[in-house]
Amino acid sequence: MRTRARGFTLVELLVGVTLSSIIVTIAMLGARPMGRSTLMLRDRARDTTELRLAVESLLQDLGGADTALPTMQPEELHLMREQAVAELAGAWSGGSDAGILYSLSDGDLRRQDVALGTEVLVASGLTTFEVERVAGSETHVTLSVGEGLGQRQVELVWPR
Amino acid sequence: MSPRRPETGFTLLECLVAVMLLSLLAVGLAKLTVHHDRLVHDLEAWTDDDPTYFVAQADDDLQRLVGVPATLVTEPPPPLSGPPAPGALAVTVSAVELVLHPPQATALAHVEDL
Repeated sequence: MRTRARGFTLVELLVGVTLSSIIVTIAMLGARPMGRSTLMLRDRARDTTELRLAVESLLQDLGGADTALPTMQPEELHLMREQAVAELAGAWSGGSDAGILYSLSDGDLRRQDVALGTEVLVASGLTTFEVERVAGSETHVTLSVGEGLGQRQVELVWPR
Repeated sequence: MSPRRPETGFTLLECLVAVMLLSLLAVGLAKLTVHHDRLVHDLEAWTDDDPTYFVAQADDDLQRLVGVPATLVTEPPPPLSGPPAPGALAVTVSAVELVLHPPQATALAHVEDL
């Protein structure tokens, strides 16, 4: 015996579509914070990489430095190499080394070798590069990236 | 008078299958959210720290000469050891070889107590 074929009524279809829409909306609302935090983590990873580049460059130069002092400018660090290091680098001239200057401008940390006349961009996106002489025996260099909750800061102490 | 339409609903099996599929979807979404939250929490804990490090130079003139970078330590490093007292040792360096890349230095020296 042939059974009578019957489809959904309009009301049933409307109810089904409405319920599906509600479920999809709830799922999208739940996924939105995940998307936001993913973007935040991406920014933070980029900032941390820039900060690491800046610290690595400073450590390379501080490894053979004789002095590391602030200048008259608020965001500058002036390094003087040991005589033997400067001589090897070809930067010893006239009985002294003109040194290396780190400076922050528009978020870009630049390294200028005053003696050799070279300049390179070390890192970008830095928000702070503060150099302070403390008690005449230590130089504190504070670097930071990001703002607000995403700020990441490192302080280096040069104990000479 | 219109004839009464036969009413049909979902069977128990259909309802069970639908509920099971929705449950699987919800469990998967919840697991994903929990995993993501834990990842965010761990990374924030790792990057929220604002540490202070001391810069320590290599306590060896030759290492500093060939460009060994300073390291970061959490305690103030001891001052660099000065040169030996004059007249304590007699050092005769007969040959020095420096290699910049990779940093390497060798020296042939004769040291004698006085």
